[in-house]
Amino acid sequence: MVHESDKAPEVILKLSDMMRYTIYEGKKDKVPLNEEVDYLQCYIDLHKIRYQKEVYIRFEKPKDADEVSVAPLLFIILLENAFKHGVESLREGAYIHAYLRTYQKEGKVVFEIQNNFDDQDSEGKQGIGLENLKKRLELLYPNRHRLDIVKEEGVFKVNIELN
Amino acid sequence: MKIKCIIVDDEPLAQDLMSTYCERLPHLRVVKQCYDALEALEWLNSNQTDLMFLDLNMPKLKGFDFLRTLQNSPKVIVTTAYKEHALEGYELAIEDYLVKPFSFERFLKAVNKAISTSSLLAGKGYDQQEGNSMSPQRFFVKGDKEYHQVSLEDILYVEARGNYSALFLEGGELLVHEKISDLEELLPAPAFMRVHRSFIVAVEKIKTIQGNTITVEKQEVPIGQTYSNSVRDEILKRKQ
Repeated sequence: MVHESDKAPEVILKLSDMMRYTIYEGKKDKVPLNEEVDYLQCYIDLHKIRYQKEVYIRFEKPKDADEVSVAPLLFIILLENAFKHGVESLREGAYIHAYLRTYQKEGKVVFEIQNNFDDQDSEGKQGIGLENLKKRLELLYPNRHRLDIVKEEGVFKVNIELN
Repeated sequence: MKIKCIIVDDEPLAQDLMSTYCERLPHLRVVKQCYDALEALEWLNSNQTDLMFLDLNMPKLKGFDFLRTLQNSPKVIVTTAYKEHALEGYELAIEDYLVKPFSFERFLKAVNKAISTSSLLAGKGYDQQEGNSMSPQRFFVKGDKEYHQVSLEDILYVEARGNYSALFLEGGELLVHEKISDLEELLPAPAFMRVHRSFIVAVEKIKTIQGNTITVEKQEVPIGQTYSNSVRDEILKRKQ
């Protein structure tokens, strides 16, 4: 390490966990939802230490996540976008609110994420992340998913429903 | 006299690393750390600095847009994770472009480049006077463990030692962790001249040239066959 830090061991551990997850779990068809939750939480923890400014992040998790399974690495795309296009575009008051809910009776998983962004930021083009997500959902959950995207007045909101 | 610098970066980890790097160079003094370009803009309105380390991807105002708004920009070394903006950087006349993560050696190279292209160290008053363009210039080189500041005017000649080089100075000899080819880039022509595969000489310090031997102080430096013509053309013509 170029620069010693008491945070370094923890950060490297998190990073290696994440990389391992994307390599080994990422190729499975389905993973337990709680593993996906841990992965998202890891990503949030890592990003938190990057910023000087205060960032408000709320992540609500389901209690029965170990009983449900989903296709891996779908929600992370939205979380990455929220950081990249939201948090990084704002000087202050950036927030991300995410919640993941399960409805076992209906066999449904819902992920919703909402973040603010700087709407004066000129880069209006849509990235490949969302495009990719749409295609994957069509292949993995054909006619068994909903994807709603709302962008208005400096707030970006996406809702995914998997059946 | 110290070189004043500011660090503009929105990531505290990057800020820490940059200030640690700067601390290792005794002649660099960090006078301000800004966490975005707007903060830097405000600070520069009422303060001045010699050198600025600038991140590009920052909220609200991106690094290059910020740079375009500056009338009297200090010297700029860009530090970024994105290599694709390098070309635009050179259009804005930046000194160097560092892609994160970069080593201390690479950082040092950038600093040397920035301070050797200017009379940063010579003091502000000298800048305006054309006649004084040969103001003393210095740079940093890595020795065994520490970094030495070397003044160009102290150098007599340089001898290659594989991946290292020996600098023969007015005050003695210094073994540095630079190849002779790297030093050749650092030492400005025509004041310095490569006279041999393994030697660079400070032209001003030459006492005599006899056959294929140059005498500097009391030392003898050989002239390489491939260099002998250019030595004769450059040096002897100039002396008349």
